[in-house]
Amino acid sequence: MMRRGLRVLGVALLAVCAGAAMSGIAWADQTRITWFTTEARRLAQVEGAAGIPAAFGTFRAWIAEAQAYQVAKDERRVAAALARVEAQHQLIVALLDKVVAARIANEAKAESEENRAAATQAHVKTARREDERRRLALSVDEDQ
Amino acid sequence: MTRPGALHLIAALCAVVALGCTRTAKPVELVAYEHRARAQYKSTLEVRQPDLLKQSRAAHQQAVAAWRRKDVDAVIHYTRLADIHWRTAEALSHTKDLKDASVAWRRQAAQHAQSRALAEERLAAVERDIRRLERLSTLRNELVKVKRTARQEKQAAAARQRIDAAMKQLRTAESLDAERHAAGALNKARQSLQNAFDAFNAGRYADAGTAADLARSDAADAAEEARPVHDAEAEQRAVDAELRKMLEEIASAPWADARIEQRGLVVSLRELFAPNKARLGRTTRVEPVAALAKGHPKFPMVIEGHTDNRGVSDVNARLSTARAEAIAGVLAEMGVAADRMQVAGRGDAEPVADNSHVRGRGLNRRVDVVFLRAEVEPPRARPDGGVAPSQGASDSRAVPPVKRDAKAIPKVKAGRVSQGMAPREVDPAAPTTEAEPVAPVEP
Repeated sequence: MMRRGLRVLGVALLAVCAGAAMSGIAWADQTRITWFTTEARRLAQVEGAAGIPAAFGTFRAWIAEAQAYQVAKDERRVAAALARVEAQHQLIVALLDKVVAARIANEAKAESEENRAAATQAHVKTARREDERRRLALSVDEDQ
Repeated sequence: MTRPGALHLIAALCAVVALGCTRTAKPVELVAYEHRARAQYKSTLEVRQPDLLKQSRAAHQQAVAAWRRKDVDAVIHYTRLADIHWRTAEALSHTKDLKDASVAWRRQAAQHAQSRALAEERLAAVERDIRRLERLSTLRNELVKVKRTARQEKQAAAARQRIDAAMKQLRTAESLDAERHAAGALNKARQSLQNAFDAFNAGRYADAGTAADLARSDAADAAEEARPVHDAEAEQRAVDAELRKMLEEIASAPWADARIEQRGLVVSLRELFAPNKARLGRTTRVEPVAALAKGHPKFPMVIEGHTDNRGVSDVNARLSTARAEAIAGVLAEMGVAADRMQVAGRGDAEPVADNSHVRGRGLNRRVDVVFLRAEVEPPRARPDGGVAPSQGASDSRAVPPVKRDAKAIPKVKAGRVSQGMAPREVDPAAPTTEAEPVAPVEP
């Protein structure tokens, strides 16, 4: 009797633990979905986000898909969808970094071009004024 | 081949075909990924993003495995994962390229900025040199201006000096009355001086100096041309002034009528002689004339005797000469130098009054003591054809100067005048005419 009671208790404990584990996983997935949703809104405000609408569209679609699977309690597909969402998040971050880097590179290039033009202009002006100085020096020497 | 063998072969081929037809085609995403994975950029990604590439390849293998087990959802899922990892690796690699490019551009920008700074620094130095040279050039120009001004002032001073000399010479010529005596040369000098002024005002100092020299030369010519006439006129004016003074001195003498004529001061002594007589009654009437002659010793004198018209002219001529000699003798006795006196007998040829009555004849029986003015050389004919004023131009009716004719006007010598010019008695028995001959004094 007592052994039977212990066995039932053990099964019950196992069932409770399994349920708790299942609930914990579902909560963790929901947390991730929520975080990615927030992250999607935040990244949409970041510089360059307007240049990659397709990536954002895919990102939001997969978040919605994960949320749907989460509601349907299809944990396997939630996990798969979250895996793609996470990868897409990495891709969006990389693309935004690329956009910023491209902007910075363009700015650097523009600055370089501007400096090059200014330097060229300064050299040209210097050469012209050196000619003027040479002419004046010759004039003064001739006068002397 | 046996018939069962052929059937076995056909069956095997059919089995193979059937088996092949049962294999599912690769999804487009997978094919695209595999095509992307074969790109040349793969080697770069392997170096830069090995982890992501590894994840991508793992996902690809799972996709292929899923395709092999015909799990379409898994194939698409893993293919997407593989593609996302690959694109993420590419994006990161591109980002690194862009960052490297940014660094390179920044470096180039810095180099350009440094080059620009060097150029601007060099430009500043050049500008300083240019300003210095411009100041030097300006100073040189000012120095040239100052030198030019000094040279011009020097030339102006020299020209002014030459103009002053010309003006001085011109004033000298004008003071010599060159306006009348050398008008041509004087006008040329004035024109040259005007040219000198014009050139001077125009800043052509060399031309001004040349014109001034020409003006001075012309003025000197004018002065040289006018000087003799001017001197003669001045002397003549002095003589005239002295003659006027003598006229004033003799005006108070009761027995003398004095006047100035062209030839000089004429003092007429009247009522000294009786008709047909050459004897001087009262010598006191001659004393004022003697005093006048002694007071003005530079004038040569001519004593002219006159008679009335009664009698024969030859006799009257001798009588007039005798009367003149009588006066000359008296004057000589009174101290007048005899060598300055000449005597002449005019007879009855030059009456001063009517001979038809006694008083007129008395006036005609006279002796004129003439104080001759110095003879002045007539002005030379001027080169410009002008006519210089002559001495007698003002009075054409004047008596011509007395000629020093030894026969007509014998010169009185001191020694002989005192003896030969002594008053002598005239024969009272001579006819009552003025025709008594009187021997002239021998020269």
